[in-house]
Amino acid sequence: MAAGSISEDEYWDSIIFFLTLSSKIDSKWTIVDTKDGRRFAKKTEVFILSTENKESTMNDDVIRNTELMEEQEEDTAAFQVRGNSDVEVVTYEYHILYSPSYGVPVLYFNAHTQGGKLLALEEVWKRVPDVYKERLSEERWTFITQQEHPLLGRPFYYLHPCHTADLMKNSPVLTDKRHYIVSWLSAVGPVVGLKLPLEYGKLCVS
Amino acid sequence: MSDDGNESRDSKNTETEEKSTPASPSHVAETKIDVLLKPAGDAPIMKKKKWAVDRNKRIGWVGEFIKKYLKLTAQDSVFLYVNQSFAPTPDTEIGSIFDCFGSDGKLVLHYCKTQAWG
Repeated sequence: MAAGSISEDEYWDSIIFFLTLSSKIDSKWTIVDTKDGRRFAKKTEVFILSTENKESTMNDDVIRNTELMEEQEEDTAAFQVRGNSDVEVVTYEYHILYSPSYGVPVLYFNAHTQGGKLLALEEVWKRVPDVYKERLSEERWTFITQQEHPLLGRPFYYLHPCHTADLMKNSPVLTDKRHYIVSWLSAVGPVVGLKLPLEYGKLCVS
Repeated sequence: MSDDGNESRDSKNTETEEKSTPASPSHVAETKIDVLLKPAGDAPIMKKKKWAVDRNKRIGWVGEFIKKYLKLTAQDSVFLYVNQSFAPTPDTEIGSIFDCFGSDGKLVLHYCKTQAWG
């Protein structure tokens, strides 16, 4: 395999390891089985964004708000019923799939408003935190486009895998290939609003 | 990193020395984290590897600092990893990272750079 890439078996070993970490840390990742026997890893994240300052969205305060909301579902319902018009609720969905042609994982994602409207790429980019915005505009390793989801057949945004192998071959050498997904996702995720808590870095599965 | 940035151009300074300025009270030294930077992949080796960083500095700031120190282009990205396998989000404070991953009074960070396009 090319430097920085992994085989599909190694990929699944790493996904299983990653899911075990998730089940201990934040339980946010699951495996989804499709009708035709395929599977992928998925996470959903709800962001409550202030429409007043869309530039500084997805900051820590917002995410803390969201986590509080998720814990107290009744409060969430009450919040929505109040019809607060100066915030918007955006649901992000992240999927991890394997690309056999590049030999790397690929991150697919979509973002919907409460009304079910799919966010346009421009709107996705507007919500990227400033510190990552520079990366998107200047740093060529991040390349977000839209294509048909290989397993679901619907349009999804995805981080193009062409630079993933380059990124991974320059990353610190992994003592265990099962750490691949953590290493990859922790580096590329933040650009599209996907943050892995520090706990993941401890790699403790027991 | 421990003062106004002149340290980065001072290649004679190879040890982690606290540069106390008239403006910094002695207790500030206790809030700095000893960071050891190690290259990964084909990242260039930094002449000065040990740095004292304020606890509340974000790791993204450290990445930008390394980028300038190594005179990388705007198209290059620097990534920092702890435990050789996890990249904290750029807005994570060095102090928090040290609390989780520091040992022997220091925090080891591996840095790597991606190739520019083309």
